[in-house]
Amino acid sequence: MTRTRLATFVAVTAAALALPAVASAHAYLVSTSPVASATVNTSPKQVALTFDEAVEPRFAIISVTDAAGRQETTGPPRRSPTNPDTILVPVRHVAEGWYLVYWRAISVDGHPVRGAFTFAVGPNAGPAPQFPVPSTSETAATPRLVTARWVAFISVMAAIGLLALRLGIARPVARRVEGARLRAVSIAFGVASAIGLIAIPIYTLLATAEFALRSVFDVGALVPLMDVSAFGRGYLHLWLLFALFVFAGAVAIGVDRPERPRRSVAELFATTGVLLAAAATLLVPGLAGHAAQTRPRGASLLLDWVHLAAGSIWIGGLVGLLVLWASLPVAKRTAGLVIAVPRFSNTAFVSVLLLIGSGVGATIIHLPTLGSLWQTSYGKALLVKIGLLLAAMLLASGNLLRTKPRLAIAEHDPDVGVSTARLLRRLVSGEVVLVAAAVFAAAVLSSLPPPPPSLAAVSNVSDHVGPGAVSSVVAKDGYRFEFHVSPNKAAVPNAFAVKITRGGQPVRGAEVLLRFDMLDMEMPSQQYRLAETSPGLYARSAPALVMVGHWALAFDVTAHGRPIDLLFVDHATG
Amino acid sequence: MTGIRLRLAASLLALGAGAAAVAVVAELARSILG
Repeated sequence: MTRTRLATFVAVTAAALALPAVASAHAYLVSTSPVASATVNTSPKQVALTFDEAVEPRFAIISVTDAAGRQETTGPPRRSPTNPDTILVPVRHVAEGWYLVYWRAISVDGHPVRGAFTFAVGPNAGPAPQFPVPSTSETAATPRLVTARWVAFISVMAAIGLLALRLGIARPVARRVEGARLRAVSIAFGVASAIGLIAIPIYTLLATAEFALRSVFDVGALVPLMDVSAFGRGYLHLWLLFALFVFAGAVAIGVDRPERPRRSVAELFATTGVLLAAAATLLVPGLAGHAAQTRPRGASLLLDWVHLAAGSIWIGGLVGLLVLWASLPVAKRTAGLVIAVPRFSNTAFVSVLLLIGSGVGATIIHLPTLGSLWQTSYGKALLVKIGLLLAAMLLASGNLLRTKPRLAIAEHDPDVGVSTARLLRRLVSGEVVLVAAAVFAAAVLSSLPPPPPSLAAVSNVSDHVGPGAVSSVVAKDGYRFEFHVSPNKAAVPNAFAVKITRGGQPVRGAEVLLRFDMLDMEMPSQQYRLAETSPGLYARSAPALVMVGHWALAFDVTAHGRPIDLLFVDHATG
Repeated sequence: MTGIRLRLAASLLALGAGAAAVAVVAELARSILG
């Protein structure tokens, strides 16, 4: 049985390595009106930004400025009455010329996104001026927010897991070991609950202040914002449901008589209340997060729920085991652990399988390509989380394969019991640290932008480049291409150059066309011819990267009469 | 006897809290998922 389980464990873990963990996403701008970098013949009445999911209009900023920096908007942004994913801002009647649209939005799951693009009012708009563009990079992964989110989530998860241990897994210890009590586990549940009840509103307040660009002490303005924004409302619901869970949990502990093997009607009522409240609480993060915005919604929400439930039972149970270890009298410790550890190991094994399975499922839904796992910062954070969980699983397998059988022997041999209890404490302490670190990695992960879905649409990519200045060397069909972009920033002119050599000699007289396709939103392609500025070096300066995001840079090179295609995926920042 | 009644009343309150939690999350889901 143990071997079969181990084999299953290894197989599922290997699958998780290939496609791991849960994702949460940001809104992507999918289209604009007027179209980015295009010329319109009459002054538009409004500027419209359409995202791939709903954004929060009360947190949105859209500025439309002319070349002199004069503001052209006449009112605050509002949601389009016809499309909830579109935000509109009215603009005054403007003269011919170029205009910069700078925007910042918060997706309903609470992630900030910013960007900038230009458009022209014609027919004689003239050449595009160089606009000073404010910073277009922003992240929800600030140390303060990530830490607050981590404290809120880990305390809620630990409270749920501790109660599961207290009311289910460790309950027989009080009956079968004379003098053993579960009071310390109940107190640990109380402490985790109190931290959660304090941490959730603090996190909501900090996040709302960050998204609304206000001071965290401006509570009078922030509380109404929390109430009207989808993000704030979700977390206030989380707080309310968690409070109901804590109440039901406290009653269930109060009416529990662990010395009786069969539960009374009162105990069954209270336990049912606990299960309902816990199930409802764990559904809120998915509803308030990206899972509810990702299709298929039902599957995304279910996977998110299973992931959180399994993680809660694991981390809370581990903390509970440590508390039990410390609280049992030394003489009773082995006897108590002999009962609690095998029961917990079985539960934890199922939980870890569910954790991995739901993580794999969520990743298949969210990650556009396998390569984005190591090519994007989101994917790298995901790998860190997997690494930590794998290390925790190694320790867990130590518990399953070493501690559990030794505890069975310890029932009859007290010397084995003392050393086994010590080994158990070390392994479980290590597991707690690693799982807590994995939850922290998840808190960072959910604050980073995941890879855009459009990445799946490009194939045969020569190289992924950016953010920052680009210098990439690609060899193809006997030719060597040295590609440079500087400074690789959006909405400003960038220098694009490619040096072509063959056998160390510059290739002269080639025709080099460079096409730009925006991958994160629908935009017309732009194409430029690169001129040969020195032998074998083809270059051009152009304001082609009109906005922040992922760009497909496709080279169409004709050298010595032979066509050669190269494709780079570039990440341009502000 | 009083103790049993008290325990039963408290457990019914806990059950009510669980049912309320389900009702609240169902309403939240309805407003978000539409």
